[in-house]
Amino acid sequence: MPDSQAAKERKLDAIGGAVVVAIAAVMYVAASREPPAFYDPLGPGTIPMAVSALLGLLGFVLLGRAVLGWRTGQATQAMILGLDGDEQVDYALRPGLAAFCFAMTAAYTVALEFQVPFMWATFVFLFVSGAAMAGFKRRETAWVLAASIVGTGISVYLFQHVLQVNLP
Amino acid sequence: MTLLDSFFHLMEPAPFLLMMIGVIVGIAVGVMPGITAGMLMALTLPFTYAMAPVDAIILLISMFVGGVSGGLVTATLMRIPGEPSAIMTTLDGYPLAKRGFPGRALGLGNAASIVGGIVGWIALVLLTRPIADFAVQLGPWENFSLVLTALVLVSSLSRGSFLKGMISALLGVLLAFPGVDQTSGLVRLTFGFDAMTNGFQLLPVVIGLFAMSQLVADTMHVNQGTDHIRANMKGVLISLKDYATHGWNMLRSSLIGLWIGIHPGVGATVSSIVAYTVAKNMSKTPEEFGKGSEEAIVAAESANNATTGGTLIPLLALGIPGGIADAILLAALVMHNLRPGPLLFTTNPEIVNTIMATHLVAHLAMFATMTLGTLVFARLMLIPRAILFPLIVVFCAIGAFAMDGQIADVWIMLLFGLVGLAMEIARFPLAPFVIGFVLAPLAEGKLRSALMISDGSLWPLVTRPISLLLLLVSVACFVWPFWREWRQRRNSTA
Repeated sequence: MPDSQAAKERKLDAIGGAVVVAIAAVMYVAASREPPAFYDPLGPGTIPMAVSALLGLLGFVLLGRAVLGWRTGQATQAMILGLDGDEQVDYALRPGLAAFCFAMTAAYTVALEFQVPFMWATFVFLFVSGAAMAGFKRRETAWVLAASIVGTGISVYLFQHVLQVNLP
Repeated sequence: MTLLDSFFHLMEPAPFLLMMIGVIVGIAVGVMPGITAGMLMALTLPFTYAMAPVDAIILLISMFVGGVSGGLVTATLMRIPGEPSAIMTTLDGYPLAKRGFPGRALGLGNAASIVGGIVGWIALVLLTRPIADFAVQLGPWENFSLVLTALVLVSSLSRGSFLKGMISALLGVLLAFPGVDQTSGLVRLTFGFDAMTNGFQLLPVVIGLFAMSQLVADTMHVNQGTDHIRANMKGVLISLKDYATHGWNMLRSSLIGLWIGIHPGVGATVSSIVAYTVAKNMSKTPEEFGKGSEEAIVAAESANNATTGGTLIPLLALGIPGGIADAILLAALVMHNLRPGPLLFTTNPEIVNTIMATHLVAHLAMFATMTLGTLVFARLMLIPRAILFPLIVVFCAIGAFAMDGQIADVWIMLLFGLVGLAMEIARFPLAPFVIGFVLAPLAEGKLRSALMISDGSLWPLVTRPISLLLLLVSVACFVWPFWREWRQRRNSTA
């Protein structure tokens, strides 16, 4: 394995180990403050404390190995396709676009939370995200506009009338 | 309802239509790059809430079978695995199609898929009941040890790093704790947020982990070209002579897929890799592998379909999901107030028999649909992503919202979308996380009810033989990777 790749792997392991230790510590403290139950020998906090302690220990091992420069290994079976940094592709990756679309999803959620009608929130989301993915080119954007109108109509009909979801 | 009754039930118009919808939508989703069967099942789950449990199971199992099989089309015609499990098919399916035999490549893959599916089904029917009969005699101590063993096994079988697999499983366990404690009824670990009173519900977690994070990854690849080979029907239906030629390879690869499927958390991707490697090692023409070998396509596709039957065995017999799709099926059962595990054979035999019957009939329907509809499905690969992806996000959001009608669940979905991305980038396996998340309440409930019986004593864990045996297996699986590494280091320094 090239040195740069190994160094990147160790850095990711160190960050991962530190995050795991932090999560375990927060959960351990929170679990230790849970009150005991009357009839249950363990109470609601004991098992979360035990799991946090074991998780923190394993997080320390991961962090320690990364700091000492030992390899830990990596999952070789990806569940999410397309995140393999070593993959050679013959086109430009668009992390900025991915971040934008994720932010649009968050904005869509905020709009629904603030009672913006589902139909309008959905139409704007479909159109803006789709147009961004199409690179705001005139012809593709026109297609996206048409698809957004149809997609909104289908969503409203499907969720409200077929699946009887009480839409936000 | 017996197994035969379940077959007859499936032949009635409404269940049959539901199964066909599941298979066709599953194949369609498998064909579209970037959308997986797990993602489809996670998205469909909230909408099955209003259905009868039997109908929900028919739909989800059919989607599972269709989705795993549909990946073959994109792998062969575009060299993109439509499903992770089709990754090995890309290596030989595409070259064979490029040589002018796309129909032959698809036909071989399809034939291998049906053989794999049937082998998986036979094992499902023959093995599940005896295992369940044994498991039903286990008490809470043994059940707790069994869940613990499953969690350690999931981590140790996660290829690449046991340490990361174990961390992933424990993170899943830990994040299942916030919310109402089932034993004491007290609300715990909510950090003062009212929205956390219900904890992290399985649906938004699963949709976030598998659908949202996949969509973000797909958006990064939005510039990927859609060059493809035109499908044709020539050779789609392979001859009996072809079955005879590839018969042993189909059977061997199916058995590999089945065996791997039974182990929790490993899944169809690994089974296709192992079957491919074994086929290459045993082939008289290994140099053909990677250049359009028929043996390679047969091995990969038999194995990944046989895995679907294998993963259902621990789910039905023990209540332990073998993979992601099974974790979603488990969630579906829980959602319909059914208790997954060995008692399901006694309390709800119609569910067990429906799962078994649907698994076989959906494979047959998949074979017919893929054979007749190849040209139609191949066109789905060309739907512009700018239209498809935002629409799927809307389905994700409403899917997460629909169950409890809370926007907080949509935020949880987004949060776990980021968690899934971060874990995949840092190469932590995701399967142990989900299985840990699903099994944690079960393990905790078993342990605490056992402790109430024993007045707080943990001794029965080691004084009861089966529990002790399972614990020893867990400890051995836990210690083995560390011991092996220590021995390697010692040998290399000596």
